[in-house]
Order: sequence, then C-alpha cells, then structure tokens
Amino acid sequence: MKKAFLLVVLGLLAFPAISAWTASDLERMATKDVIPEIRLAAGYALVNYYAATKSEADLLKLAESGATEAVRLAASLALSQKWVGAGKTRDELLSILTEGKTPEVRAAAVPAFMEAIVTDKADALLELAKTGATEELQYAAGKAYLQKIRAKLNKDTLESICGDEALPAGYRKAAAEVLAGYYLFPATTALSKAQLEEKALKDVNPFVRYAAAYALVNFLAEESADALYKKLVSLFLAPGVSAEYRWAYARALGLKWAAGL
Amino acid sequence: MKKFGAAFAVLAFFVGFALAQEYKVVPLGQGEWKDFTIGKYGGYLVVGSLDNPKTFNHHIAQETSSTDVTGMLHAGLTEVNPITDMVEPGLAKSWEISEDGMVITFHLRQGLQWSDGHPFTADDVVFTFNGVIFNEDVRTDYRDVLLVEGKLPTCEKVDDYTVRFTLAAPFRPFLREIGGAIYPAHKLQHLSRVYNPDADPEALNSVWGVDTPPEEIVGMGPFKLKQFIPDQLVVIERNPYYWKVDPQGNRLPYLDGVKYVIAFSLDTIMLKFRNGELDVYAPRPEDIATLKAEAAQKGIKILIDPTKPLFGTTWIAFNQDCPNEKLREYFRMVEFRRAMSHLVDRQTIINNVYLGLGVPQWSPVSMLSPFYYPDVPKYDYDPEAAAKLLDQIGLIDRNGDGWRDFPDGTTFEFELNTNAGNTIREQTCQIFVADCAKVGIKVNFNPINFNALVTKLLGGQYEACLLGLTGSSEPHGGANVERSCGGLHFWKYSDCEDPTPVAKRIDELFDLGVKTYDFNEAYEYYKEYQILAAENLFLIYTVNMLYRYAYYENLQNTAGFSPLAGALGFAEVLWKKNPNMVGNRVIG
Repeated sequence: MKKAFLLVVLGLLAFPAISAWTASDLERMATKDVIPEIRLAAGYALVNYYAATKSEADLLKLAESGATEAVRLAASLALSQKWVGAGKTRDELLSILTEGKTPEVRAAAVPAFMEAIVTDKADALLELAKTGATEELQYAAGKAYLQKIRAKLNKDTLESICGDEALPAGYRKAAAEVLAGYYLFPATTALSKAQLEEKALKDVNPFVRYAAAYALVNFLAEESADALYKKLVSLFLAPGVSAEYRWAYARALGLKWAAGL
Repeated sequence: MKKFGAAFAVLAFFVGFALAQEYKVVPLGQGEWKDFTIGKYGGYLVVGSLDNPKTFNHHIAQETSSTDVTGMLHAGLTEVNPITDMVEPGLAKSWEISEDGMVITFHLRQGLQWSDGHPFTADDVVFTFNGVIFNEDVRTDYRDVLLVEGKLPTCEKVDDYTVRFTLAAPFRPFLREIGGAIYPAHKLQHLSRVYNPDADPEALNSVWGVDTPPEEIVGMGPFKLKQFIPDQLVVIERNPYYWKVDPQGNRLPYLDGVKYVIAFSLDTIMLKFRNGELDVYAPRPEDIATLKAEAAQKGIKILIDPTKPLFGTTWIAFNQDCPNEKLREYFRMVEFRRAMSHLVDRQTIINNVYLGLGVPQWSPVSMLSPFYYPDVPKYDYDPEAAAKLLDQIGLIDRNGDGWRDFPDGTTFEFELNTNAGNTIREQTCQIFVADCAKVGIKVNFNPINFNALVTKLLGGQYEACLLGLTGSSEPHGGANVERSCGGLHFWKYSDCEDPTPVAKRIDELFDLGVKTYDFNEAYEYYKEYQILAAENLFLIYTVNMLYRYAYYENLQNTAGFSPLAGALGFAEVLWKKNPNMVGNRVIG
C-alpha cells in the first residue's frame, strides 16, 4: 500500500504544476484528486468562478451535496459572496446558521450575518459567540465581537481564548483568525515565516496552530504555484504533519490557481 | 510678467470637432506619474460613507458626507497635483502675474463643455466669483480663504477665455485657493441677485439640495450625479465631457463611476470592506492586525508607507513665559530645550505607542509638503548628551537625592500636561517622563481635560505640555502659531511685544514666503524658517502617525494614495483589472 502511494506521489511530483488551469480542470481536481489538500486548493480556486457562473440555487445545492468537501467549500464561499448585501433578513440568516443542512451551507451565511449583528452591543455578541447553537453561529458572532473590541485586543488575550477549552470551537476559531494578525503586526513583534511554520506544525493547541497557519498563508502566497504544489504532494505521506500546516499550503495554492483562472 | 503652467496645457485636436479642445493630458507613466498605467474603462469604485450628503451644493456643503461627493462633480481654475501637492493648471491652462504680484490673469482652456454639453467660458468663472462666492447672500466659507489683507479680490472678464483677478496685496497661496469649484452660469446665474435683482436671496443657498433631479446638477468635474437613495447610496457616473485625457488620448475617468455606500457606523464600514463590498477603506491602527491576517486570502493591500505621514504635528512645548520665574529662565535657554529633545525616545515611542505606524518628526512643515526641508538639525534621543547640556547650564544634583536642582538648591521640577484620555499622548508622556528621570529631571505628569488644557495653554498658565496641531502642505497655514503675535504662539506670547531676533526673522520669512509667486524663492524662505525652528526648538516635535490605506488588489493606479488626496483624489485615473468585481467579489 505504502509503495503504491509512493508511486502516486512520485508521479504527482513529476506532474507539471500548471498555474493556469481551466475551470473544468479545477472541478476535476476538486472532485477527484487523490490528495485532499490538492482538492481543497482547487476548491478555493473555484470560488470566484462559481460566484460568476452559478445561480444561488445551484450553489446552495452544491454546498449541500457537492461530491467532496472541496466542492462544497467552493460553493459555500461563492454563496457567501452572493448573500452579502443581498437583503436577507437577520432572521433568515440566523435560521440558515442554525438549521442549514451542512456546515458549508451554514458557513455561507457568516459574512452577511456578521453585518446584521455588528452594531449589536459587545456583551450580546460575546454571549452569542459562547452559546450559539452551531459552530458557525459561534464563529460569526465571535468574529463580529472581536472586530468590535479590536482596540482592546492583544496577542496574549487572543491566545488565551484559543487555549480555553471551556469556550466553544466556533468562537476559538474566530479568535485564532484575529490572532493571526498579531503574529504579523506590529513589525517589532511579528513572527517570521519560519516561526509561523514551527507554530503551525507543532503548537499543542490546534487553534494556535490554525492561527499560525492563517498568518502563514500571507507568506506562502508569495511563493510559486509550482513550489506550493510540490510541497503539498511531499506532505501527503509525511507523518505527523498538522492539518493546519497542510491547510495553509492548500489555501495559498488555491490563491495562485484562482489568479490564473 | 511671469508665466506658469504652459507646459501642462496641451492643445489636442480631435478629428470631427469643430473647435480645438484644449484638454489636459495626465502624463500616466511619466514623471511623477511614472508608477501609473494607462487604464481600461469600466466598473464602479465602491466606497463607504458614514452619513447622507446634506446638499449637492459644493460651496454650501460643510460636511465630508457632502463634499466627498460634490468635490467629484466640479473643477477649478487651478488644481493641486495629488502626488507632488504643487499647484497646476486646471480649467485655466496658464496664468500671468503682474510685476507687483497683485494682478493675476488666467487663460482658460478653450472648447470645453459642462457635463450637460453646454460650452464653458469666462462668463462661468466671472459668475462663480462675482455672482456666488463674493455674493454676501451666499453662506460659503470659501469667501474667507480668498481674503487678502481683509479684502476680496476683484474678478473681471477680459474676453471669452480670459479672466483677471486683482488682489489687495501679493499673496502666493492665492493660486492654491483660487482652485475652488466653478459653477455653470447657464444653470444658476438667474438665482444670483448680482445678476438678477429679483432673485430670492436664499436661492443660491438652497439650490442643488439633495432632492434635486441629478441631471440639474451640472459641473466640470470627472463625474456627474446619477442617483441618491437616502440612507443607502449615492452614485456618480462618468462625465462624458470631462476635459482630461491620458497620454493615448483616452478621455478620463476610466471608471464608470463611484458608489458611496451609506452606513452609519465605522464597524459596519470596516466589515463591508472585509466582506468585499467596498474597494477601499482607511483603517485605524487597531484595524491593521485584523486586515493583515486576511490580506493574502482576500487580495487586500494595506498601504503603510514611512514616507507618508499624516499632516499635523505632535510636540512638547515649554512655556517660556510661565509664571514660575526660575523655570522660565531655563525654559528660555536653547540648551535646556535641546536637552529635552535628546530625552524624547522617538523610536521607542514609534515601536511601543504607535505600533510602528509613525516616523520621527523634526520640522514644523509636513513631510508631504513641497516646502518640507528634510535636513534640519536634529537633537535625537541621547540621554548622555542631554545630561551634559543640563550640567553646562547649571542644572545639577546639589543634594544627592537623584534629582537635579536649581542653583538655590531647590529641586528642578515641572508639570507636564496633556489631554486626558488620549492614550497615545499619555503613553508618549510616560516614556518621556521616565527618560527624564534617568538623567535626574523630575517631571510631574498630569493629564487634564482637553478644554482645561487649552485654556491653560492660551492663557500662558502651563509649564510644559504635549499636544498636537493640525497641518497642511502650505506653511503659511502655521502663521498663527509661528508669527510672534500669532494667536497660537503659546510658547512665548511675550514675543509679540519684545521679539527675539529669531522671532523677528521668522516673522520676516513668513512675510516673504507669501509675497513671492516663485516657488523656489518661497522654498528658500521656508527652509530657513524650518532650520531656525529646529535649531531653537520652540516646539519639540515627537512622532507623526503614518497614513494608512487598504484596498483590494483589483484596483489599479493606487500608487499615489497618500494624505494629500486619498483614494478619491485619484478617482479619475483609477481603474479595475476586472471591472465586474467589487472588493474581491464578482458581481453581476
């Protein structure tokens, strides 16, 4: 089995990492590629294409029942673009966030719902972030809350939220994404790419690993599609590589492929 | 006679037009525009606005929610280059200044049209000044900035494309100030009592209100009004008759228009930007981390350029007329003030207080001003040099308690005020106080209410304070601070009655600086002023906050974004790689 994988990987490494795939190439990769992160990268690359070419109904259907996580993700992010500023009421969005059939459908409502609640009082947002019925609702409220109190935030506070196992995952994920910014700014305390890689690989806390990976994408986005692709392929069989670290490379490769679409 | 600006006026003949149209070419790709590219047409720039416009009458508007829109609908005789901040020809292709500097004759571009297609002539200019701006019926602040020695200029038509202004005295800033919006005589002249004695005195104040049909609002700016939906949206669209072109002869602007999305909260505007509903956003320092985190994923560019600080200054002032005679004696010594400057750890303040978003400031003139002189003397952080200077002037620790003393043995100490609640200023003060303590200077830091502080400052009752002043690119804007009898000459009001030689020279330099229209000559006067200010440290400048701007990478020709003009100042040359995108979202 391992030998077969090795052959696949060697074959993939020899495969030219074209930076300008067609949409159908990307759809095929998002559906069928053997490496999950390559599927994910293709999914990220498809977002704007889906937003431009698919109807809301089609995207909703794909976000519910797309063949792979990558396809559902692409549809979800494209759907979220359509729903922002589209006039959906707060109740409608709340209903999607709590009753949407898949995490991807629920996630699509996050940006629009944040706009609906961002002027709420901070206390109310925090309460919703802590007690929301779904991870996506906790995440949306957490992001809105953390934006509202951003002048009072710092790295320590955010790391503490990420590390608090009593807090719900959605809120901790929101905190991790803001924490990523404090790993990049201000310059005097910013982490280097190597430090972010180390953290994304080895920190004991998965949300801190995610924060580091989220920040790391900003560095990886400067690398070539070829280098990112080869790295993802090489990570495929590497033992003990964190999911967050692999996600960062997938996310960056998705950006590269999207730019070439 | 001196001539200005002829090099910028380009005569462009377009086949099929009966009249030569003297368009202005924006030299994209050349000179100071070298980082700008020829664009492609299409798409709307979408920006956030915190409120509804209150009027579309530019000369009446006072709030940015109105002027951000109306400023795009109009043009003036002169304009300020958004990159260099130098005055350039606008609707006037050139001008001549009489030898005595009091008569300025403007030559207008010929063959231009208003946004409704009506011809533009000298009658429009004369109407704008005589019928609107100089008309006491009209409640416009613009009239005030055109006063020279308390008198308004006269404006007269010489011929269809020439107008002449006569001033009470030579006044260089006039060329910048005369660039206000020109109004269309054919639309508004009948509303002015200067032209129509039967007109309602309020007519020009109420015209072009927010309920005016968009097609009634006519201008010479790059855009014209298309739509206003209260509490939601203002849309302006390309003026098809705009008088500027790119080097390939493409008429500007490239954008189809600008949409102002009205949201009544900064939180909402920031979120709309993060969600890709806006193309640009002016982040506050506390926004930067959030935006940095998602920059690559969303295609957000964050402009933080150390060569682009904001206008305005932050400084420590020592009251040289302070009631405490013993302190006054030392505050008047330049060696003392230089020692204090050596105790301002600007780099630590930048790192710890401004989160890296600052630059040391040394000159009273803004770094972005064309009059800025960078090589003034600098008394940077150096506690040893400070200690040596303090020793030299006899401020030494005479009783071994760790604090320096007056010659009579009492502790040398002073109170330092700033406005309470301004955390940046409070933290800056705390760093300064700690550094002073390291060399034995006892500072009693006392943040107080802003209004109380201003009262102390203007009443000459403070000892030392850290505060800020607004600024602009025109050094003359600081005359009320720098002149010995200026109302804000708060570090030594006694200069008015008994000016020092340096104060006298600065007065002279401010006079000379406005009486010449020769930029190079004026620059030399302001350079000398900046050197004197830096050597004598009447105000000890600390740190200046950097300009910050965020935009999506789909937007092109953003190279010049700075406090001088922001994003909208470049709207006529901005373009979108993908016109169907707003932010990072595909629309339509």
